[in-house]
Amino acid sequence: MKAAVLMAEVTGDTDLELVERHRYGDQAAFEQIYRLHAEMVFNLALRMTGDAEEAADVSQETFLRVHRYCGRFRGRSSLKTWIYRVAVNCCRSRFRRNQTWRTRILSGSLERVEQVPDVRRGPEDHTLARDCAEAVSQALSRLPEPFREAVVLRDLEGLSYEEIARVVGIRIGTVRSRIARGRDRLRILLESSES
Amino acid sequence: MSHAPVEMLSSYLDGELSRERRLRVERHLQGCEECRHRLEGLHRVVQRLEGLGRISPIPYLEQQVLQSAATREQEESLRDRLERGAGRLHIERWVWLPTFGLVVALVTIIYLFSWALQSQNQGLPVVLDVESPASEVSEEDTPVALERASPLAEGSRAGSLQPKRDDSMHANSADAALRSRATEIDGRFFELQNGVWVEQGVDLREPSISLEFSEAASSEWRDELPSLTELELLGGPVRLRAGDQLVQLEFDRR
Repeated sequence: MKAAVLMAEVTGDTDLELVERHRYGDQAAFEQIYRLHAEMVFNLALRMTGDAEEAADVSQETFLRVHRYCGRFRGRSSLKTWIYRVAVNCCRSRFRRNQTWRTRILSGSLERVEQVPDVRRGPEDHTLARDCAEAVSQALSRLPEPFREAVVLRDLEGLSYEEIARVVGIRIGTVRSRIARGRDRLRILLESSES
Repeated sequence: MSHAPVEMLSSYLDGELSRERRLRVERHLQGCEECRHRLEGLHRVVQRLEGLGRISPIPYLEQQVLQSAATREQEESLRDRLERGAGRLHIERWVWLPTFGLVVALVTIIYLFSWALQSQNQGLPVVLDVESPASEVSEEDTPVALERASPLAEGSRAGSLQPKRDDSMHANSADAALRSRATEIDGRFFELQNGVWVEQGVDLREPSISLEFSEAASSEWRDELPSLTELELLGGPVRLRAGDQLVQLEFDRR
């Protein structure tokens, strides 16, 4: 992944140049786009779906859409924002299609997502961190979809309010409201689970 | 005392408030335990979310995505080519339709023309049935046949011609060939051999008496000969039997 980012920096390809190369059938350009944004898309999908396999499927669908519709990217926003938008739409359509997945989310029986262990922590800390992460993931999966989108994009992906507004296609005031309500619901869910 | 809206607290955490609003929130928090507690709760949520960290994509994902993209590209390329092909076909349709119509019209015209020609030919007594017995030829047919025939030009059509209807093109052409080589006069059949009309059953190698047409009418074999007028119309020497003699009628050398 770092190699891909480094390659983009070394070659000095901008988003538009990459897209242009891809449009003219340069397979390496798409590979570069994938490597630059794969982690971002996978993590967004993982937090939105709460399931590693679903996240992989959403990632694949997202990149296939990127591959197909990349030619429509005009550079009005960054490629990253554009790909986020595609990924969010994939999550939404998948969520609406997949009744089983929705049921699993509501019942809290999703596959456990393995966290990357922090080497600075001891084994007990690892167990504690894993339980904590699982509780957050479960609470997150119980949020209504619009709130979850906003919270994930803000607190996990680190997008600004303005970027979230562009990705989700809503006004900044709505973004502010959704983030706040999402966080507040999570607070209630986590506090109730702890008590 | 009214509490600060959760939107304001959440935006305060993100540093998304104007200076004025931020100061107002801070003043409110100093005197509101419940809002402070709520703000701390929101802060913990943000910290715990951030603590989830980043997870590397499933290892097989890259290969799967790139492979699927390549496959889809091939499919799209094929589809594009087919669509382009269909597009070309659509354009050519405007060329092909009139061309096809023209060809069909031409073929129809040619067919109708040949059919009409064939029908016309069938109405003419141009085919001779060499095997028909003379007794079947009516007297009425003879002048008509003679009137239509042009023996000097063809050198063969003469005598009491027997009209024949034959639908077969093959038979027509065979008969046409035969027509130039065989004929019938007064129930006697003649065949053209080496430029001589030879009566059926006569061997050309047998010796014969030579007789000019102008003399034939007054000769002793006059009653043994068929119509001299018709024989003359054959346009060439005729070797035939006259009684027990073999006679070759020649055109007058004068």
